Amino acid sequence: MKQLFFKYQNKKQLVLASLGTFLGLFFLFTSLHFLHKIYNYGENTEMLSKNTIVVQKKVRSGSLLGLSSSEFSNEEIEEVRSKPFVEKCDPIRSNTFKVVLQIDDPLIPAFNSDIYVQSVKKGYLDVKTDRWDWDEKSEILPIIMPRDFLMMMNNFLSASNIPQLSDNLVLDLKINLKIGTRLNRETIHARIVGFTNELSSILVPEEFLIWANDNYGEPDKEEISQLVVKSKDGQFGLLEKYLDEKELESKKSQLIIAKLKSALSVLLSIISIVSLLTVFLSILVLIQYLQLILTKNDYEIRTLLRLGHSPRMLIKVFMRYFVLLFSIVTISALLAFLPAKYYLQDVFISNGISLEDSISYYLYAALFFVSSLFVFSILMSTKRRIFKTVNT
Amino acid sequence: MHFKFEQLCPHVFQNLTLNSSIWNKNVEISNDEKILIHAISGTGKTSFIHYLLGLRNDYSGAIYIDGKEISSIDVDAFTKIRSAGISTVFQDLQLFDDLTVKENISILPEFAKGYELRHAYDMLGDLDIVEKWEQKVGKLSFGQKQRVAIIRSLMKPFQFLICDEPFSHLDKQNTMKCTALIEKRLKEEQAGLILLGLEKECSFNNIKTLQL
Repeated sequence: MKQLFFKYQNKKQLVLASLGTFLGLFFLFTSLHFLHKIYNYGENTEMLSKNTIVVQKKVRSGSLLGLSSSEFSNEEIEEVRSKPFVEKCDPIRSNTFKVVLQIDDPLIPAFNSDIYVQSVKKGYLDVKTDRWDWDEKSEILPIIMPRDFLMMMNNFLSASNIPQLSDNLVLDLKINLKIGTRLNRETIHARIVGFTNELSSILVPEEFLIWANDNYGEPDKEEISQLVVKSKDGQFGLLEKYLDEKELESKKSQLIIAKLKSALSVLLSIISIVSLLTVFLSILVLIQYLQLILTKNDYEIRTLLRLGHSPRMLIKVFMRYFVLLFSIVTISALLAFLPAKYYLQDVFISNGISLEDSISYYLYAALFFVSSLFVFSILMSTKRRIFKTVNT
Repeated sequence: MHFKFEQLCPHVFQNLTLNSSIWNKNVEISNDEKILIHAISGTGKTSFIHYLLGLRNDYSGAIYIDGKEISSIDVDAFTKIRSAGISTVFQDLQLFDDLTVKENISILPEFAKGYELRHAYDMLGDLDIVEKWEQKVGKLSFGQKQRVAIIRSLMKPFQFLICDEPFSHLDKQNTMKCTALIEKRLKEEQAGLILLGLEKECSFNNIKTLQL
């Protein structure tokens, strides 16, 4: 029966429509996937709470000459706390002992680096308390990794021709912190629980820092050069204005990422819309092609119905053909999407943006929507035509 | 199966005086009967067949199939009637020129249900066109096509066989062979026959003639 119906095919039109559908679906899948991933970037892994920033004094020539201090006095901290738009403000504590970070994991080559660690009070972090608890008996120390550090590590891996690490892989890395001097040294096993763009040092629980400073640090060496400030909801602007007036600065990375996310989202949204339009137009061409086939087979359809074939069976023949065609095109678009996804993901990682690895549910939603639309349109067109022919 | 026609009349004949034993009459035909409907050109022969098959409804009066008014029969029920109740040899034959004789026959919906292709092949032998089995129908003469259409109509279950001028392009010898084949299948299926033709006579046994 397929031979009977599809003998008058103009393959050129079919190939063009299929190619259009393929390209439309490919760009739709790719843009929607990355739109979703970019939109969610940093949402689940950024550990500093909403409206929270880290501030420090602006570096001026005076401070370089030792004429002005980059430290915060208790009075200055109290002044920030007293502002009506500030919900809370606390000093960021730093290590007064030597720390070496060592990555001891088969995934990457041995890696050692002198680092700084800092701590902020729990209330500023979006991390579940049980994951951030530490006491002297704990076997693992939870740490929050600055994204700058992750980017540096990925650059190192890339230069060594080793695959770069995504957020999920980094979370599983075995890390040791060697603290203290050669004479009094201890190895602490650590595990990354999240990431931050706001700090350049590794964050550790406050209990650990107090304990380590007491046992391995140099007394009276601790300086308070950074504060963590949380503004009240909707008053972040006032806080930024105040910081400017007081010649305080915050790390702009969150702002840059927000701008980058917004620009990329707009771009990807436009691509998604154009892709969706391309898919609609291609489906329209395929429907027109179906109608052409139905018109050319008017005699065949009428005769088969007169011989006693059921309209439903004839509808099935056309449905099977077009659904199979659409399935092949869709699977091809999905197969093309996968390498494109890995390639683009790698490009993002190289630029310090580590996106979640799983396929976005936006893609599944688009797949379901476009497939349903196609099947429904084809079914209705065929049904209308064949049932119109039944009694003629 | 049983047909009943109540005051049936095509719209185009509505204001005409007709000398017909079917139009504007009450007629019943059962599947134990063979009826020759003698119809000269322009008396609505093809319309009559189309009305019976539910393909047109430009008429007044009513047609009942097994007591059910034809317009109230739904698509599924009519599909069943067309596939297993009525078999038809259309005047224009309704064959597929691009398919072979074999494919034209095996395309029947009920074909798989007990009707083997070799029976059709044997029938082709009975009608002297067995060598056309694998040939495309478009390459056959009209007389050969008529024989293929007759064989196709016999290769399915039916309670009524309706033939619209099935022998118009056949010689007497081939007409006799076709008649014998049809008689045999009518007997096997215990089916009735409605034969529409330009002639007043035919070689079927025990056939009743009606004037259209």
